[in-house]
Amino acid sequence: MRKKLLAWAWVLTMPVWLIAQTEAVINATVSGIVLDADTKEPIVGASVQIKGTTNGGTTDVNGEFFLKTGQKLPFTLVVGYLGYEKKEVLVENNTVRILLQADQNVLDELIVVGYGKQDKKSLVGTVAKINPRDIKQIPVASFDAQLQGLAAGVQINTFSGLPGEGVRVQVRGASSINSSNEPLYVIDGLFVNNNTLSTINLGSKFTSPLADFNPADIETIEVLKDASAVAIYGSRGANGVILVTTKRGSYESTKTKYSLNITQGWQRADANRIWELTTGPEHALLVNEAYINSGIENPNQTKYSYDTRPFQDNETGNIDPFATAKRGDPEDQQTYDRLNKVFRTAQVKNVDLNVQGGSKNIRYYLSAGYTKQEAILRPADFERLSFKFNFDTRLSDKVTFGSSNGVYRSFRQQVRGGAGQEAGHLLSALHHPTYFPFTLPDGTFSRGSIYESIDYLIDVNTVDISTISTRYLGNHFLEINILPNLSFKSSIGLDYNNYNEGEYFNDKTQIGGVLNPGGYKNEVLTNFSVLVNEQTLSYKKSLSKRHNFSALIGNTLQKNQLDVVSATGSGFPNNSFQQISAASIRTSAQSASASTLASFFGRVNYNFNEKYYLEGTFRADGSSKFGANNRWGYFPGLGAAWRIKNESFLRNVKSVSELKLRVSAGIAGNQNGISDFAALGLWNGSAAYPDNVTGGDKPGTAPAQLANPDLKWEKTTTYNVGLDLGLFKDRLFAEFNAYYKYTTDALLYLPIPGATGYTSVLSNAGEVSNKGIELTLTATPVKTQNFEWTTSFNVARNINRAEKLVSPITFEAREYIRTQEGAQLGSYWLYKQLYVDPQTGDAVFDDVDKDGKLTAADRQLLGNLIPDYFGGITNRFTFKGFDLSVLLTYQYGNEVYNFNRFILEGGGTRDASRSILKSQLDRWQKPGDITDVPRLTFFGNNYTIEQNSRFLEDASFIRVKAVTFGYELPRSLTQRFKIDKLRFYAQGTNLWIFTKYTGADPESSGSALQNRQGLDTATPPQPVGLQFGANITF
Amino acid sequence: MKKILSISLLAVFGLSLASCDKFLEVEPLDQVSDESTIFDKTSAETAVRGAYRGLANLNYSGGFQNTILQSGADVVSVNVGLTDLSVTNYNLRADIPFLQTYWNNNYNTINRANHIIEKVPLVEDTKLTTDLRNQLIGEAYFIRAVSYFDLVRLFGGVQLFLTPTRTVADKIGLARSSTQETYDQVLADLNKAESLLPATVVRNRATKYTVFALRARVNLYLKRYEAVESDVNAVLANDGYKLIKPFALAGGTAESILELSYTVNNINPGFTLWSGNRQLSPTANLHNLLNDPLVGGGRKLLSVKTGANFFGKIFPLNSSPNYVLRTAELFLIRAEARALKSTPDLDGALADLNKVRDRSDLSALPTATKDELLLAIENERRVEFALEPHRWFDLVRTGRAPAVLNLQDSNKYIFPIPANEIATNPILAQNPGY
Repeated sequence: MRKKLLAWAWVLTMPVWLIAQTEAVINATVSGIVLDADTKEPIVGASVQIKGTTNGGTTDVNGEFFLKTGQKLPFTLVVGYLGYEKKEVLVENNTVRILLQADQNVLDELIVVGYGKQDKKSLVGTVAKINPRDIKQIPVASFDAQLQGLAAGVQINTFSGLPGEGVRVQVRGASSINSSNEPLYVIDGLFVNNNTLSTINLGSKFTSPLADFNPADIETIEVLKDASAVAIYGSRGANGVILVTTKRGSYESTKTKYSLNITQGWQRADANRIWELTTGPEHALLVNEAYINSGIENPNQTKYSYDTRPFQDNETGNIDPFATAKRGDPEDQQTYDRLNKVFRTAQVKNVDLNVQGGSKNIRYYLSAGYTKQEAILRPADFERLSFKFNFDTRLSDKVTFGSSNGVYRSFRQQVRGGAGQEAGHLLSALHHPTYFPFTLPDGTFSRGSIYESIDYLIDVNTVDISTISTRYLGNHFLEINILPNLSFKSSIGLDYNNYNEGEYFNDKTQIGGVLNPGGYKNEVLTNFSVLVNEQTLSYKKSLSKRHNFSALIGNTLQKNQLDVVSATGSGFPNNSFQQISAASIRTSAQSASASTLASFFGRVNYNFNEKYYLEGTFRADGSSKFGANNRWGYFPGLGAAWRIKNESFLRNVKSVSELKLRVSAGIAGNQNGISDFAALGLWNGSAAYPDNVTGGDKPGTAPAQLANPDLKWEKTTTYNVGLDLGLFKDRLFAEFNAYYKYTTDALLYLPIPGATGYTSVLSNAGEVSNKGIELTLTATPVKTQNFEWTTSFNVARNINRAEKLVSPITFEAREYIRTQEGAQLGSYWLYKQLYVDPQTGDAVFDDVDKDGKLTAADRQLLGNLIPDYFGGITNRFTFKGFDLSVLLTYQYGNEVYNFNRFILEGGGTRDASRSILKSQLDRWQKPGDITDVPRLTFFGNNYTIEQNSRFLEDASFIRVKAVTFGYELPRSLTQRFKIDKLRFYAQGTNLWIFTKYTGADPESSGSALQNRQGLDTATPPQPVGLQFGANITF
Repeated sequence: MKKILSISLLAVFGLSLASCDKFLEVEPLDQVSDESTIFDKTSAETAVRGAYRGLANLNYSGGFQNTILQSGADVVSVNVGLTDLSVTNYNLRADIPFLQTYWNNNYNTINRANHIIEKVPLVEDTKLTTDLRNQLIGEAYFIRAVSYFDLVRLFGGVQLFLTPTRTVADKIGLARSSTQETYDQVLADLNKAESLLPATVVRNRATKYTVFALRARVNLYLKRYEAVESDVNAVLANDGYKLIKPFALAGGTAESILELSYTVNNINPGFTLWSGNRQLSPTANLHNLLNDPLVGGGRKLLSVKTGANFFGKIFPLNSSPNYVLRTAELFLIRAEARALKSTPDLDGALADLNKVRDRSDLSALPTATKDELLLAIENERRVEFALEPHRWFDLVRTGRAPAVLNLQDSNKYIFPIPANEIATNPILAQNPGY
C-alpha cells in the first residue's frame, strides 16, 4: 500500500517535474506548500532544506514556505516533520506542492511534561496525551468534562446536566480522604485554580472554575500519572497533573490563517429516563392505604386510621387539596405535571474565531469565542465570552519573550439543582405532590410543604440567582539561551478571578416573603488570585552520540489570596427595588484567606544510545498551611526505561516497531482542599450577643478550631511498571501500566468525640492504598487510499482501600457513606433489606448482631461509589471527505444511592410533603405478594429506615457519549473561494445509555462534595443533544 | 559573562531561600489564634458573649426544639421529615444524626464556658473590676449548668468536663458519670454562680435571680420540693418579675426571667420551624385547647387557623427572643412543689395555679384533691408552654408518659448516646434498649 501511495504522490507531482525540466533558472526563489498526503491538511512547522546546503526554513500555519537560493534549478529539497517520513523532492520549478506521508511511527510525537517536552520514545514517565480532536466533540462548558473515556485511568463524571458545574476528575483512584482528590491543573505553565469560588446555595452543587476557559484554544492536553512524571510537581502531584497547552502561532508564516467555527445545537432530557410520578388519584390512594394499614396495625393510637385518612369527602363535598385532612376522595384528585414546566428543549450556540500567524521574529495566536448554553432545566444557562492572545517574540538570537493571555467572562443563570429546600428547582418540580394544584383558590401560585412554587422559580423576575465570573489568566516568560546547551527561563503568571454572585427572591417567594419579608437579596463578591513566579535553568548535552544528558533546576514562589465580601438585604419598599441599599434590613460580612508555597526542583535525564533511559526528579515544597516544624516536604522521583526495540536482536524485526519497558517510583504530596489555616487553633469573632435586651449585639468570640501544630504533608508513594508495544509500524499500539500507590499521613478531618466541644480535627491520621492496571490500545485496522478506520480503547481497574484509620469517618448528614479501615473509600453504610415477608408485607432487615432489634450496630458497608472498571472506546472512520467518529464511555461496578427513590417511595407516609414514584404501586398488598416494596405503614421499619439498601442501585453504564459526522468539501472546490478548508458536521451527545439504574442518570450526584458523591437527589440528568456546525479556514 | 550570570542566578536562588521563611508565614485576619483569646477585660467580655451565643444558637437549636416538641405529641411536623416518624413513634436509633448534633452543641457551649472559668480568673487588667470578673465567671458557671442540665435530661448521665479542651487526648478515656452525679454538677455550678452573680434584673443574661429560677426547675426534676419553693420565692419577691396581663409573648417584659436574644445577623433558629418552611404545626387537638375559652383563654394567640391549617405563633420575627425561663413557669413550679412536698400546701398550690389561669382570663379552679390539682397543673403547663419544649420532659419526669403518650418502655425516656460518640470514644456505655 505504501508503494501505491508513493506512486500517487509521484503522479501528483509529475506535472511539476515536466514543466520544470523545460527551463532552468539561476538564482531561484522557490515557494511551495507541504501537505499531509492523506488528509491534505497543511503541515505547519515542517522543515524544508536544500540538500547539501544549510539553506532552509520551516512552513507557516498554512503549510507554506518560501526560499531564496543561489542554487540552480533543479535541486533537491529535504522535507521533514515530526511524525512524517522524511522526503527528498527534486525541484525543477519555483513552486512546488509536497505531500508528506505520515510516519505511522507515533513515537516521535512530542509530549508535554512538567517543565518541558519529550518525544514519546524517550518518555520514562506515564503520560496520557489526549487528541484535541476528541475533546471538542462534546458541547459542554468546561474541557475537563470533555475528557471522559479518553485517557486510561482518568475517571470523569459529570454530576448534573447544568452547564458549567463541577465535574469529578480523578486520576488513578482516590488517595485522600478529606483532602482534595482533584488533579493539579497547569495551563501554559501556570498553576490555575480549580477549586470553586461558589459560596451561594446551589443545592450542594458548585460551579467549575475550569468552565471559564474556552476549549477551542486548547492545542493539547496531557495527563501525568506516575511518580516519574508528577514528582516534579512535588506536593501537588499526588492526584495526577493535567497539563493544558494552548495554541500559538508559528514563526515565518507567509500567510495569516483565519479559522471560524460555528455551531448551533439543541438539547433535552431523555424522555425515557425522566422520573415517572404517580397521578393525583394514585397518590391519594397510596396515602390513604398507609393510614388505613397503620390503623389496623396499631389500634391504640388515633393518629392514623381509616377515619383520619386525608383523602375522603369533606363537609363541603368539594375537593380541598390544601387541607390537612379531608381533601376529597382519591378519584376526585387532579394531576399536575411540574416536570413538564421545568424541563425544556435547550439551545446551545458557539462561535469561535481565531487568527494564527507570525513573521521572522514574531508569532501570535489571537482568538475570540462566544458560547451560550441553555440548560434543560429552566431557567439555568451559561454564557461565556473569551479572548485569548498568545504572543512570542525573539528579541535577539538568544533571548525570547513570550506571553500567554486569556480574558474570560462567564455569566451563569443558576438554579438550585440537587439538595436544598426552599428554592430547589428540580426538587420543587419533582418532589411536589402531583395532586397539589399550581394555584391557590385566590389565583396566586401555590406551594406545598418545603417547596417554592415552580412558577416562581422559573421566572427570573421573581427568583434570580446569577453569577458573573471575570477571569484573567496570564503567564509571561523571558528565555535566554546562555549557551547553545544552556538556557534560563523566568516567568511570572497571574490567575485572577473576580467572582460576583447574586441571589434575589422577591416578596412573593418563601425566602423573600416569609423568611425575610419584603424581598431578599444576597450579593457576594469574591476575589481570588494565584500569583506565581518561576525560574528554570536547563542544560542538554550529548557525548559521542551515545551518552545523552539533560538537566533542569528551578524554583517557584506562589501566593494564593482569597477575599470575600458579602452583603444581604431584606425588606425592600417593593419589588422594583433590588439593590441592597434600598433594603430596610442590611447585613454584611467579610473574610480573607491566603497561603503561600515556595519550591525548589530539579530533574536529570540520561540515556545511553537511546536504549537505556534514566530520569531522576526532586522537589522541595514549603507551605504556609503547615506548622513551622513540618513546613517543608521533600518529594523525589526516579524512573528508568529500557527501549528493547533498539537492542540488536529486535532492531531488525520489522513487525515489532516498538517495545519499551518503563519502571518508576517516587513520592508526591497533597495539600489541596485543606483550609489555609488548618494547623492553627482558632477562635471565631462572629459569636456576638447583647449585654441586655435593648442593647443589640456586641462582639463575641468562641473557639472554632482545635490546633494541630504537628500537621504535615500527605504523601503518596507510587510505583509504576509500564510496557509500550507497537506492531506493524505502530498500526497497533498498546500501552499497559500497573501501579501501586500508598498514601501515608493522609490529611483528614478526624472525627473526635463531640464532648471535646469540637467535631473534628485535621490530622495526618490515615493510610490509603490504590493499586490498578490500565490498558490503552490504538489500532488502524483499515487504511486505504480513501478509507481509514482507527480505533482506540482504554480500560482501567483501580482497587482502593483505607489501610489505616483510627476511627471510621462518615459523610453526609445521614451518614450514607462511610470510610473505615480495611474497606474502600466511599462505601455505602446501610441497613440491608433482605426481602419483604410475603405473609406480613414487612421489610426484613439483616440483623447483623442477631440481637433481635434493628440498631445502629446492624449497619453494614454495601457497595461503593467508585467503579471497578471504567474507560472509553473511540472509533473513527474517514472516507474521502467524510468522517465519522463514535465515542463510547463506560463504567462498571459502582453503585448509586437513589435518594430520589428513597424519598419518593416513602410508602405514603410523606403524604402531602412529597410526590410518589410510580414504582411505589408495586407495594405489598395482600399475603402471598412477592415484591421488595413493603406494606404501606407509618409504624415499624418499613418506611422509617433512612439508610435502606433497597435504594442502592447498580450504576454501571455504557453510554454513547458522542457521535460526530462530518464532511469536508474538496479543496479544489473551496480554493476557488479562497477557502482552505470548509467542513460541515453534525454531532450527537449522550444519544443512548445502557444501565440498570432507575434514576434519570447514573452519573448524577446530588452533591459535588468529595465523599458525598453517589447520592442522586433532584439533579437534572445530562442532556441528549444534537448540534450542527461549520468550520471554515482561510 | 558566564560567571556573572551564574553568580546572579545563585543570588536569585539564595535570596528566595533566605526570604522563604518569612514568605511562608501567613496569619489569618478574620479569626484569632488560640493563645490570644482571653487576656484583658474586653476579651473576657467577648468570650462570655460567645458562650451566650452558643446557648442561644447551639443548645436551643431548631432541631432540639423540633424533637422535644414532637416528642411531646402536641406539635407535629408538616413535612413528615425523614426522621420525624422515628421521633413520633419513639423509635430512635443511635445513628440518627440530630442526636449527635444536640450532644455536640451542648458540649461546644460547655467548652466555651470552661475557657472562661479557667482563664478569666487569671486575667491581669486593672479595668476588670472584681465585680465584673465575678459576674463573668458566674455567667460561665450558669451557662455550663444549663448545658449539663439539658444533656442529663436528654441522655441521662454524661461525661463531666470542667476544663477547656486543648488536645483531643484531654477528653478521651473518661466514662459517663451517673445521672445523680451529673445533676450534682449542675447544682454545684448553680451554687457557684449564685455566689458570683449580682442580684440585678437583666433578662437576656444570667443574674442571681436567673440562677434561682433554674435551680427551682432543677430541684423540681429532682423532687426536692422544699428547695424549689425558697428559690421561687426569692425570684418572685423581686418586683421586676411578674405575670403580665393579658397574656402576650414575654420578650423584654417583666414576665421574662431568661430569654435568649437574636438579631438579623444571628437569627432565632426556632423562627423557621414555624414560619418559612412551616416544619411544625400545632395539632388540631392543641389548637382546639388553646382556642377553647375555658382552657386556653388568652393563649389562643399561640395557634391560628388559616384555611385548613394551623400555624404556631411564637416567634413573629427571626429576631424574636426564645424563652428559657418565664415567671409563669415559676408559679407553676411552685404550685407543683407545694402540692407534692412532704406536708402539702394545696391552697398555696391552687393559688399559684389560679394566678396563671387568671392572667389568661380563665376562671379560678375550685379547691381540689392533690391528684386533681396535679393533673390541673399538668394541663395548665400543656397550654401555657404549648410551643415551648417542656411537655415531653414534664410527662417523663412526672411518670405520666405511659398514660399520656402510650409509651410503656421506660428505656425510651432518654435518648441513645450518639453512635459516633461511642465510635470515637469506645469507653462510653450505650443507654439500655438502644
